[in-house]
Amino acid sequence: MNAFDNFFFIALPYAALLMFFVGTIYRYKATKFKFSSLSSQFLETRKLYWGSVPFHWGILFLFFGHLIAFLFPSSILLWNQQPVRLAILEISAFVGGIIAFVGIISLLYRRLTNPRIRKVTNYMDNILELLLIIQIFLGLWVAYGYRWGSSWFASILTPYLNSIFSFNPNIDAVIALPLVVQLHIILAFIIFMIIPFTRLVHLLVFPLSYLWRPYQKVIWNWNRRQVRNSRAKWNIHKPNNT
Amino acid sequence: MKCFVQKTALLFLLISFNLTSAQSTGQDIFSKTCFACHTIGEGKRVGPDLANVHQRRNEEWLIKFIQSSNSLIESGDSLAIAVFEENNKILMPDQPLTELEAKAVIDYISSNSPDPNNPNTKTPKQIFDPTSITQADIDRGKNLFEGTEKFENGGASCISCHAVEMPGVFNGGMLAKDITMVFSRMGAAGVDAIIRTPPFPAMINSFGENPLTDKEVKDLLAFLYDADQWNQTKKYSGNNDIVLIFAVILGLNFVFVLFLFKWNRVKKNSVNSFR
Repeated sequence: MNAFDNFFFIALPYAALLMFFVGTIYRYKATKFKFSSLSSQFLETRKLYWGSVPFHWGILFLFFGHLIAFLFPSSILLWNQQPVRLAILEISAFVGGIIAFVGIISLLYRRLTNPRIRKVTNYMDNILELLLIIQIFLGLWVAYGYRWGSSWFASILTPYLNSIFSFNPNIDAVIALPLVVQLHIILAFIIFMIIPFTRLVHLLVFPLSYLWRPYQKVIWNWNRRQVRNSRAKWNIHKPNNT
Repeated sequence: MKCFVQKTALLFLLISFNLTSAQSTGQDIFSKTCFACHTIGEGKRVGPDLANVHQRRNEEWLIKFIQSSNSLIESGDSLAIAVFEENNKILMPDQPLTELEAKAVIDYISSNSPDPNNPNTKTPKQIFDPTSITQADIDRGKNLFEGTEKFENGGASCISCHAVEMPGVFNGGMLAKDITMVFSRMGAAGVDAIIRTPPFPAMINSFGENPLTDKEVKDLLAFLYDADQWNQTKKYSGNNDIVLIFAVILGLNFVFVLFLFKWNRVKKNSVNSFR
């Protein structure tokens, strides 16, 4: 068992870090213009809204939650000092998890069923969405079955992650955690590892103003189908963008 | 010849260094991981008194049991199952020790065991006296448990991972054991020792470098004793999970209404409409 633990909780995080850095530089140098998540809003709009918006709000809330618990564990412990505040934090995080889960499932459904989207889907898109679905499901399971994660993250996982980043790994506490929590950690490393090779690179070039800027949409100014119809009368005027 | 002497000297030095370090690791490991539940010749705590355990069981079995009592019991080993049954069915946590480290602990126990011809009749000294606790102690214990009062030396509150089911106590954590009836299971000495020198890696992470003060331990014991007593006569059925689930559903509704509101303001068609 020991070899497995060492592999998953010491070797894997370092491999993930290495692949992340080397892969990002390689990808940026090799395919600079593909360093984004190819937008498909132009091809399908409605389902995208109901998938992408809930998913992104949920995942951003959770991502920053995990990040804050890692960077400032004492702030989370301080907040959780009052049970009511603990409940508020856990409930909002759980709501975030559910909207992200519902969002990513509808995004995968859209990707698999819409013929236009299938044309612009590559192999890694499907794998990534599947991994994210499993990861969020595991996260919800941990949140429900092994609470209160916001508190014990700060006292169990933060020291573990610190030990990884200070090159002095200590996995005693992590290997004693329940299997579901361990799987959530392992899958997090795997997702981190494949960031450079998937559409996830968009989070590295993510302009922060996206968070508060108005919703942006790409639309045709002119109805192309109408323009191409030779029998139709020319009645197209300069669009009025008000 | 000179080279041979040098090498031998170095070898002896290494061996002697190894021996001393083995002894100190044995003591170190014992005081960090075993001490909370076991004594050597001072009677049963949570687990059995380990005095002269090396004479009662063979070393190979002991090492297996130390490393993973769990898998030994699952494999159907009758001795391991007997130990489990005799000790209130409390499972000894698996210890991530190498064979050498386990041996070092066994050596430490054997060299510190009392004379086997003079069997032990002592009981561990009692630190907790239920007659002397006051309501103030229990209340403070509850505050420490829930985290509304911080531990003097820092460290996460108990509620992060543990639950105590009793009216007036907030829903507890579920990562670790429910400790409502821990007093009946482990006794005052056991609970006291586990809080002071936790054998569980997650607890070591939280409290290894931030030990609790005497007063804090005393108040927590008072609270846990009170909870144990309450649960022996009554059954708490106030399952607050329903409230949490209801809150989540409410939150979801709120968020989806927000999305719907936003959806109304988004252009739906992929062609700009002329007005």
